[in-house]
Amino acid sequence: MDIATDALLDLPAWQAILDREAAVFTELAPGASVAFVPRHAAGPDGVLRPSAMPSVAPLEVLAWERGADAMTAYARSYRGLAAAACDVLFFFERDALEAVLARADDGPFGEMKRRIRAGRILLMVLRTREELRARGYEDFLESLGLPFMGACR
Amino acid sequence: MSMQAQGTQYAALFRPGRIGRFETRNLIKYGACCVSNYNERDGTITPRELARTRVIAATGCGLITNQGAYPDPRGEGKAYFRQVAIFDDRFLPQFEAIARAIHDGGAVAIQQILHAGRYGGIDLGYCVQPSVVPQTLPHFRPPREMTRDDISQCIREHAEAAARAIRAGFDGTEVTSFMGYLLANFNSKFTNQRGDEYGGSIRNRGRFMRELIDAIKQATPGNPLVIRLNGNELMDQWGGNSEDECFELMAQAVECGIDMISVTVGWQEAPASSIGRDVAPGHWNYLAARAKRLFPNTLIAFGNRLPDPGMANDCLVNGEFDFWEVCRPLLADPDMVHKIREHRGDEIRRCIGSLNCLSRLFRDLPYTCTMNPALGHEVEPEYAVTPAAVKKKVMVIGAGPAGMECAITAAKRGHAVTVFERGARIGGSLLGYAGHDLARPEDLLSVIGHYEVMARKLGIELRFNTEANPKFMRSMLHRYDVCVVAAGARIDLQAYAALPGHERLLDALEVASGRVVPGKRVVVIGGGKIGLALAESLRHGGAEVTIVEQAKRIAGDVMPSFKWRHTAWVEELEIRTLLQSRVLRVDADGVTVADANGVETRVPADSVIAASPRKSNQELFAEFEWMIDELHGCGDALIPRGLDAAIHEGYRLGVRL
Repeated sequence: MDIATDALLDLPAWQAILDREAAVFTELAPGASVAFVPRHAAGPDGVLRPSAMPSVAPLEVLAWERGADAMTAYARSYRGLAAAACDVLFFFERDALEAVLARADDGPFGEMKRRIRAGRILLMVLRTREELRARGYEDFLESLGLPFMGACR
Repeated sequence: MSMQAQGTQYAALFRPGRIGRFETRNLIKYGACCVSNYNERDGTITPRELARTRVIAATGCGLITNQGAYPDPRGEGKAYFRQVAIFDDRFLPQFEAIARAIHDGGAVAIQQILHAGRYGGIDLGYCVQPSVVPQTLPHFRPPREMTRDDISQCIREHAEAAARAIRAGFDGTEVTSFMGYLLANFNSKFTNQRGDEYGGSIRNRGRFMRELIDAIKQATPGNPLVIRLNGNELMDQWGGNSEDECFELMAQAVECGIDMISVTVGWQEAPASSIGRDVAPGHWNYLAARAKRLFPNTLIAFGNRLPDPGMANDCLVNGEFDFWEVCRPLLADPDMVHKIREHRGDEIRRCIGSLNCLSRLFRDLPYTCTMNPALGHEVEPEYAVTPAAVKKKVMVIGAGPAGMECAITAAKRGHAVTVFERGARIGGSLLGYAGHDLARPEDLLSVIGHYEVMARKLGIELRFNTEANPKFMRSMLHRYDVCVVAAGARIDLQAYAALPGHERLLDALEVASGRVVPGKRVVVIGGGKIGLALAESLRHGGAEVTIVEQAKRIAGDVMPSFKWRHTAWVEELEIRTLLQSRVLRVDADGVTVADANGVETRVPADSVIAASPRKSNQELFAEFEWMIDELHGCGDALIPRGLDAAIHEGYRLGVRL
């Protein structure tokens, strides 16, 4: 993604979603953060590779971070799983995040939940359950249909 | 196929079999499908486990697989806090006791070795995997990549564990990829992103498995080795293996001389159901059939979501697999094999797929079974059904699960039991609930069917259409020694007394029973299991449905393993949910709802159903006190909960009357 040109990094649009859906994030502790990474990204050689690798060429990605009062959308650098300084990563297919943005005024997290279930967005947790609970993630992750306490289906 | 069929219907199941040099008396394999979590934190086996093992050994299966033990002293392979360990000779005596018990029961004994990989390291701050691929559920430990030396050590530890199991007296061993454990992590392209000889191509990804098989075969020559492999991971949409790749990996295992493949389905992280109640029995049988077609000279075992012995028997007859692998149905009814052999199939207490067993493991609790209250308590004499020292006349009020469980247990002990029920048949609230279940109503109805059969066989007197009004019941009390109030719970309509328009509310239980038929635009107050079941069913039938729930989320009282299913149905059926909301007033055209900020919304409706709160039917306690020798209660009549509590409390009361 390119911060200057990519519609998926339309930070004001994401900020509007975060403001409108603020109730989901009320329990999050300051500093809690998630990032959205394209599932595949081109390296310097132009070849597409999975972004869920320990290290990848730097990417500009969308991130949400809980401040003192609210969730803020911003762009940050992603260099692979090993250096991902956030709590949860969402690896997305482009059409899925576009669909979430398209539903900005009409249940964006419901759309995100559907896209997760359809396998178009994959979530990876970078903290233990206890750490996530301490940071207040239970509501947010449950709202995305992710069984916080685990599931066996 | 019905379990009630008689005669030779199950003949194929009871044919003798063979694995390696060991003969089996039938073609039923007890699967090590659940870690019990009954043991010590250091992996030592407890008396509770041994008592449970004796029950498993007596199931009548031809082949019994003991639950998975982790093979490494570091605990990287340990998935559950109280999982058994097999990394040292100090564990030998207890494994010897287990192997002996299995042999005493007449079965071939297999010990499973379970390294949980990305689900392991439960006591540690990390888990090990072929590559650093974080988990997709927030239950597990952060991953570390295994070095080549780690891999060699891990394989060596598996081989040593296998040799130890054989020394303990087991006849064979089993390694498992089910459900997403270390072996699966190497096999899957989702979790294996290595660039060395253990990653990349499917041949390279299968190298760990092949080396594992070779090492165990060398360490235990002459003893069969079983491997549990996915026929479908259900992870392909997240980058996992396709079904074809799963079978390619099976081919590699066959090439290495594996004695049996147990075909499985799904990972813990899979976004779709594999063994839940929403999957039809037999759904995955095609995977076993494919394996058998591809590998005709290798034994194939299968049992995922195949709880019906009749269907399993047919599969054997049709050559779809060689052994019926069964576990959860035997948790629900350890006597199932004996019952089908003795043509008492109608007495089987079926597994209803509630996955209570697994839900508890994720909370680090010992597993239990909704249908079998004694499971896990075998070591406690208090849970045994023993002849009553004093035979009593027992009156049970209510023929729901709590009342019937109590009645049946008491009758087995020799008490004379009469059940009074205001409805026309057994079932209580469960009957109405089952009628609206989108998953598999047959599972819930099987509970009622079981009670009907057992009541008849045990000579329990059933008095239907008998309202338990205090005057009538008082006139009966003198004939009994014990009264058990199992009258269930009701929707507490009094809670709405101050709500304008409350007289228009419909009682959810009346709607569920079919006594009241709602319109086509429905508001359901309460997003718990009763409200959800009704909302989903009505929506499925074409009604517009809105759920109004005061809490932040729906399904608060639903069993964890099924919560996701309800939320998914609500999404799929496009049921509108108004959370953190309450109804302000009801009128002829609908309801007015206020959210947490006081913002009001108007919801048009022709029917408004109150599905919460629930209130226990406890009035008879006060009426009967001082009027009978023993007065007890159980189930929702004490606190409104659900099926699991009803069955367990009814049983616990029944064994001590």
